[in-house]
Amino acid sequence: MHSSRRQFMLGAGGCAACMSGLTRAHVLPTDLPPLVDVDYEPVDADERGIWQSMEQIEETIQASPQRLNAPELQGYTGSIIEQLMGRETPDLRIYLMRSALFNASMFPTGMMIVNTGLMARVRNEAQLAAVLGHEAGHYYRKHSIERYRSLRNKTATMAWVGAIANLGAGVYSVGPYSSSDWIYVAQGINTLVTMSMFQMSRTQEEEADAYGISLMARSGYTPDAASQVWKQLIEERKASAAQRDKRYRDRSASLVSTHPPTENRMKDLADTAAYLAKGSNRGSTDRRDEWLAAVAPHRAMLLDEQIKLNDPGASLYLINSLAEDGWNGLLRYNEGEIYRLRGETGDQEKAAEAYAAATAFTDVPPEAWRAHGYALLKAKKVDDGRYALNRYLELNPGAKDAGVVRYTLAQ
Amino acid sequence: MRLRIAFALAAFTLAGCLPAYKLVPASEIHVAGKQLVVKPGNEWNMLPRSPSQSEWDETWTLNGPLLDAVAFVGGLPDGKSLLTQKKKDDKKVPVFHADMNSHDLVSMMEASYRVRGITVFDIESVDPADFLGGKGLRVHYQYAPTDGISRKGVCVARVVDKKLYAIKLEGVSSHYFDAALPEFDQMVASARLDQ
Repeated sequence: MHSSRRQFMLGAGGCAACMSGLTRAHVLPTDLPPLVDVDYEPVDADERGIWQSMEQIEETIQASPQRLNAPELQGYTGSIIEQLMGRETPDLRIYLMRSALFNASMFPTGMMIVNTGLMARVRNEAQLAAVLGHEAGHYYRKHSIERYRSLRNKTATMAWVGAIANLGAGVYSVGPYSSSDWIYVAQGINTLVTMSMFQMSRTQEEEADAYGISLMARSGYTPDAASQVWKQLIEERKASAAQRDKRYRDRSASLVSTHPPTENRMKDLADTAAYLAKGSNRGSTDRRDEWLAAVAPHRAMLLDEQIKLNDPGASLYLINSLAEDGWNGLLRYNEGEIYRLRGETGDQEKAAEAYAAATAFTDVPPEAWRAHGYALLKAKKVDDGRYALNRYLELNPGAKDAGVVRYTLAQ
Repeated sequence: MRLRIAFALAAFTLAGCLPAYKLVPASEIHVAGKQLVVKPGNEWNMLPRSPSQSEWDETWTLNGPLLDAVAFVGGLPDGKSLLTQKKKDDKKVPVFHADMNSHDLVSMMEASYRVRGITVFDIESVDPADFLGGKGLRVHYQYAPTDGISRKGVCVARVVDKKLYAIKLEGVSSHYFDAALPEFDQMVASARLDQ
């Protein structure tokens, strides 16, 4: 599986002369043309039925309370897809949804869902492009309808009510997560068995990887970014497991998983990226500054979503990774929150130190003053604690918890 | 095989062996253990206990738990959680500590939603409130569970003798929450500890 996949991926960027050093390549990039164009319409009864169901689901997603209201970030994400495709993409509709899980999903009508948990973790525009390109691959290669037909033939007696809704391809997940999150939103379907039947096959995942990385190379994005996404995720999951005194286990490594084993996937993408870089004269970029500017207004919310999941190993990994560019008030505050929520021996002191450090930065969030104040009160430093809580109320006069903070100050 | 399971379920149901809702009368009653006492103004339906439910909580509903629910916490001790920590879980369930201040208690409450996969959770207000003969907290919040239907919630809580006591109401934002709020307030006002 592994070697054949590598051959397949290497083929994705190859030319006849370049391929001489390789054994058989199963799929060449020329074998992956889009099967769907910009004004594609469903061609038969199967597809028309799916599209009708999906329209209802999309309406629900549009009105969902979990939808992130961030027009600029939405527009920015759309512009990356257009950069990848080299054209305007009215056929792909992206929805940014508030879910702290790392995932993105593609549905057969061109609806794409990108979770805030993914936005929290990517480090540059090229990494986001890697995910979006992979998802676009599922759509333009018509994986959902292909999978639907394949499964229908195998399970003729299956009840199809609601099953169409499960055609989303949640592909950039690691561990137990899947596209099913948004199916719950759409229809409240709660049958994981059905869900699992409608995930993409491994071959389709591999093809989408190949499709995405060739789009990246063509658009001038650093193809290496695709494997970096996986590297970060594996490191994060290892940090999470270590925190719980567990060993990291790749849940995609199971024979029944539709996703290729994560480590293999990372290595294959890295090999392909190296190959593409060797065969290309054109420069590439990760457009990191553009990403940082786009995500900056949302960083506090994205970190809050992650930290409150209370997965301290993963959260500390994320914060420390972001702090490689330098600590700031927001990161120190969130570091304190991780320790406070973890609540193990010595964590109160660690949290207190982090909050104190946060208040020394000019970008300190008001909430850091509140946390600092309560930490000082716990340490019996009453005057300093009261000063910090007053500072919180000064900086955040409309604080939702102003009532209880004032009550604390009045004691 | 499926048929057998169906027959078995039918037999159990007929025999009354499946857990069932229980009617709660509109009179003073002990809830979630032996210490917390409330007096509801209406009849409520007590939800059957789930295997993962802690021994310190109890839930009632008027119109079904997806529409409205009142939950009671009857003296959660220091070091315990209302949620079960599964070995495989990445996320750490929040644990109650008797020395928690109001900031910590609100965080613990919020974390109990977040660790169950609810990302959209907003605190609307936190104020001091009278409860069980002293000052506790009253927290109003809103959240969006994965069914996509927004819920409103209010929780009144207080730590007494190192144990956590709380009553909370949750309901669908349109109609059900607001309809049950006066009844919730009455129950909070009526609550006492049976020492």
